[in-house]
Amino acid sequence: MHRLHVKIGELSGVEIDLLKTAFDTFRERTICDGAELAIDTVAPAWACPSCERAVERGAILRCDTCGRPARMIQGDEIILQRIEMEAPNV
Amino acid sequence: MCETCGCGDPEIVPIEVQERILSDNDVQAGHNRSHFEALGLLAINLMGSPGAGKTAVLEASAKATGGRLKLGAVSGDLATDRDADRLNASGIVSATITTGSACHLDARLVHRALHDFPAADRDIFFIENVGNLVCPAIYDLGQAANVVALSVTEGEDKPLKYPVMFQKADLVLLTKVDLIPHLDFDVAAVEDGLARVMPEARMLKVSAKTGEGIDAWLQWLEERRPAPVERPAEGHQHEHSHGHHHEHH
Repeated sequence: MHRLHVKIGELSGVEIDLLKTAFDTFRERTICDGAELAIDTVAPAWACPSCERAVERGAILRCDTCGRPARMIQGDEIILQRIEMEAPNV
Repeated sequence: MCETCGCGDPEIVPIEVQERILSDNDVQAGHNRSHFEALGLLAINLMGSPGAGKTAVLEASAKATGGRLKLGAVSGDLATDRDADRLNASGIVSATITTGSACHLDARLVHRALHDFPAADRDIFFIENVGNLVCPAIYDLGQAANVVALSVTEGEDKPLKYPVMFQKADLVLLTKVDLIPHLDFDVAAVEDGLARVMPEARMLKVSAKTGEGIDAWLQWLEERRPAPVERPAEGHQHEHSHGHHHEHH
């Protein structure tokens, strides 16, 4: 295994530094030994479900225009996106 | 072999996965949810700090409902059966999930507890999570709603300091409100904080001690109860995705 790409939202509850430590600890003597962990962090974002207007982080989570509760559109994901591995040498 | 430059190094192949890292827990939570739905049971994941008053609110709920609603609970506890003992004494059929040093419940732990739990004649099933404002929020247990107990002695800033927990809440119970006269506690500041992390901010002020707000809380629960289902008298058999079959009571 060469590299793992993961996507972690800032409000997913996963702490990036601790995830790295855990990966370094548990990859030993597995196929991930020596593999790189590439982490994409995703800032949280909210938008109105009807008019799609963005609601800023830290603001009241309601649409300015129509008053509907905003919906989180990103920022809570914990996703293994892609792995890169050595193909058998043929 | 590397075909780009012929260097002889093995070729590196990217493979798209795009899978949630906690997908095992999600599958198990889905299974729990189908149990709850089949039983016509409203399942509530009750979270909050240690000492926020989760058990006390449930005791007060049992007292207020006076047997009208049949309540059941499992309590996540690191080392003791104290919460389940208290709840049983108050009339809530309860069991402990001993978590050892784990700081949260996951769907598998709840499922294991369900196997031995007499859930079939209950109306509402509370999953009293381990006291912790961080980790429990990450694990779906199969509940219909998340409720967070926040006591007035914890301070107004908790929603902004623990957004991961409060963003997942369907309801916040502001507990121990009988203490407000003795504290410099600003209820409006909590409401403002919640509105910034919780899109459909909903908060009820309750006191387990005086009973204030407990009726509103029971009303909130009643509104979420699923339509009654035909329950077989002898438990039910069903397929399991995890490779075993058994009867539930």
